Amino acid sequence: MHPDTATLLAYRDRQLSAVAQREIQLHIAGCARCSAALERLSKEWEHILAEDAAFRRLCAPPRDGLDRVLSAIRERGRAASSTESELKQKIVEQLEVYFGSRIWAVLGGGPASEQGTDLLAKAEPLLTTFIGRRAAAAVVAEIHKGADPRACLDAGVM
Amino acid sequence: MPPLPEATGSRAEEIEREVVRLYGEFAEGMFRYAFVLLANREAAQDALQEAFLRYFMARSGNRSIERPRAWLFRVLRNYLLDQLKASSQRKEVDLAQMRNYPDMRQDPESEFRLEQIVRSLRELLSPRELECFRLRAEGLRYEEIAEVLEVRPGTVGALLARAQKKLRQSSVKPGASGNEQAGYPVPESECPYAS
Repeated sequence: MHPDTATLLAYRDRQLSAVAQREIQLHIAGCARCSAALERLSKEWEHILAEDAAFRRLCAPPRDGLDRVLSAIRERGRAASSTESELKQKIVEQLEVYFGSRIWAVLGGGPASEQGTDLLAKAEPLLTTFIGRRAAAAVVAEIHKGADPRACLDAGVM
Repeated sequence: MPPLPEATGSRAEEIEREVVRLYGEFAEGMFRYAFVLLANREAAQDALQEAFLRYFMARSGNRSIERPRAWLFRVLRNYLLDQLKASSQRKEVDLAQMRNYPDMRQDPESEFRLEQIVRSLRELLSPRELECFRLRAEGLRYEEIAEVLEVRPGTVGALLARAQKKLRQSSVKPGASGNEQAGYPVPESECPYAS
């Protein structure tokens, strides 16, 4: 059976599996009709790509495109870093309310070497041990929201 | 309370270098793909920027991206589809606002030619065929195209075969008129020189 056009194109583009590629190769070697069709398709594609060159020449990104991408990345990085720094500061302050500044010796690492969210993740089991699972979850949620977790006490969570 | 240290940023710098390398490899093709879909330079550049920004963010979150080219094109496509959807919902254009936009085109003649090419391609091919053709012309493999368009690789082959057939049928013949010389054919109804 002769391969269809899509298969011949995939063969030309070397996009078939190794087995299929070999099968089509063998078929084409013994089939003048498919061999001619493949040659015609290849020439057509070359012609289309040659025509596409006009489009490629006219359509290019601006010269400062990369600079714009890098500026956007750095701006986003600064914003993320500022948010992370604020979050970390808040977490450190709030955890020290419960455990004092020696908490970092117990947890290992500490504010100097940890991301804010990692600090909170490490401290959550400790909070759970001392004030219970529900209250610890409430404290963590309050810290994320930016509220003072001592409000949890007033709200009667603990 | 102990002082908080500054972030070293070495990881960010490493990813930034990755972005620079990928931009050098793929930005031109991504821009052309975006332009064919949006037909607007500024919007295409914004889309390109967003795709690389998302790549940076994904990598910053320690995400491993095995095939960056397919990933970037897929993210770009999703963004473009969102933009097209949003613009189709904007029924009216504020003409007063439009009049205040400066003409950013450096070479109106080239821009006009470019618009003609894109318009004729859009008239000739279905949206899927157009995307598939553009991605293949930019050198993506069938598997990558399938990943970008979220179809099977077999479908890619069929779309490409149809696209090639349509492009062949309306292709420039030797000795064609001057209006058709550089690139894809211009539909007669769109040709400004048609009598």
